[in-house]
Amino acid sequence: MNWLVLAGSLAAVFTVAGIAWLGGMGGAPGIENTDHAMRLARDAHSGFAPSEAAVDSTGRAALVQGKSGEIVLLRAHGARFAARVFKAHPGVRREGGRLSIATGERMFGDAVLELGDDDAALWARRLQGAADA
Amino acid sequence: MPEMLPDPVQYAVPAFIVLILVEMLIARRVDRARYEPRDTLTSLLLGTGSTVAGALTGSAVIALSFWLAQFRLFDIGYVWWAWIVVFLLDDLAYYVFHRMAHRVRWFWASHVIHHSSQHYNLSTALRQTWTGFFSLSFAFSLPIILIGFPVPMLIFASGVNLIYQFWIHTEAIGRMPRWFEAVMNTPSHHRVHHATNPRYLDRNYAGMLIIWDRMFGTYEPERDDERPRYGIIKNLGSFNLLWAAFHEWIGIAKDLAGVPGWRNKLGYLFAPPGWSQDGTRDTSDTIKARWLEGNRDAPQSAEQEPAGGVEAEASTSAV
Repeated sequence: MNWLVLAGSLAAVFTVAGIAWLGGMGGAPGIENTDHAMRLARDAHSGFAPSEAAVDSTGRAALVQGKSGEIVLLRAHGARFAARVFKAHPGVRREGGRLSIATGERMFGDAVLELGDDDAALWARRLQGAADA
Repeated sequence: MPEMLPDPVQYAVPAFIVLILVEMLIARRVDRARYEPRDTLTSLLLGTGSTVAGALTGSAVIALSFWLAQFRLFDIGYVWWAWIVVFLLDDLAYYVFHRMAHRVRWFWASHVIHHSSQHYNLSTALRQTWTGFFSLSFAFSLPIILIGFPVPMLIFASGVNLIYQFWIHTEAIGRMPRWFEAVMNTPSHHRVHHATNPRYLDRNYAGMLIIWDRMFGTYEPERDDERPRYGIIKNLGSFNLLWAAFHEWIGIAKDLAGVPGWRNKLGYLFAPPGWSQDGTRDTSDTIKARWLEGNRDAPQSAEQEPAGGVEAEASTSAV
């Protein structure tokens, strides 16, 4: 192996990525509203029929419940959104209007949503499998 | 060892870098979200790692190829028609390998790396596997050697095929002229391939030539009213380099450890990606079936495209 070529390749790689960063590529897209969240969830999870959604105050995450009871978590992933479907009950912790959700996937990471007191309480119950108020 | 032809890929690398920067400039004007710096870094590091993996295992593959050549049926030299035939056969072998790479989890575990970006740009083209040798993906080309085509000729053709596939990983080009779209793999055809829209799943496996997909029923045109959504069914949600490189292999290992019976274990190795012994997971087939059930009245395939179609004439303008 030519170590000089490898070093040059790595230098080029970091230079290109650095140019992307300095050029302001990517950005931080936001979920505009509940309709947008439901569209994203429907696209992310085949066959999912959204019925209700809650969007984090920063627009960088959302929870969407489906007609069959499944809940989809949408979380910003760079300039895109990644989704996780909760079929079982994830770990949930509520502190006022803040909902912390443990996805159970170390690489995906946990999610924190600022939903306001009422919505946070409602969605915490839903995630924990309790009946709606 | 017999003399090898020059490796076309290493000469193309500087052009790859330049074109990525050009595409980035275009994206900066049109849609900055086409590039995400961390995704670009992960893609390019995966590509670099793939090159390292290739350097470590390439000698073994070449040696195996030359050893296999002694059993060839014919002695085909460097005649002009052999170049044409080997390009065609190599492209056909690529189609077969690529289709297996989406339909057999063992091969998918290597190939999924390339699809794991939620972006579609020229850096995605370089997002390549580290485990191609381990998954034995090179085996699909070996029959060409047994026919009798020179090993260096086949390796050169494979390199050209790889270089061709670089430029089709872009949203900056809409449609090529109709005659070109009819025969060659294009950015439009390959956007479909990288998409997770149910309509687009497991379609357009072409390397250079889209004719194989048209012949074998795996062709799907890109629709202007259905933009591709890129990535994999369960997107990584992580830019971690090692996770991107090995996550499906780790998934296989967990499934093998957690399920009883050899039949089930073989299923988790060789059935389509997403197969599970209890049917709780989705495969491309179940996703498509569910989508078809919910879209009975919509055009389902290229054969059902409404008159007038949606494909534009010659269009090489930036999208």
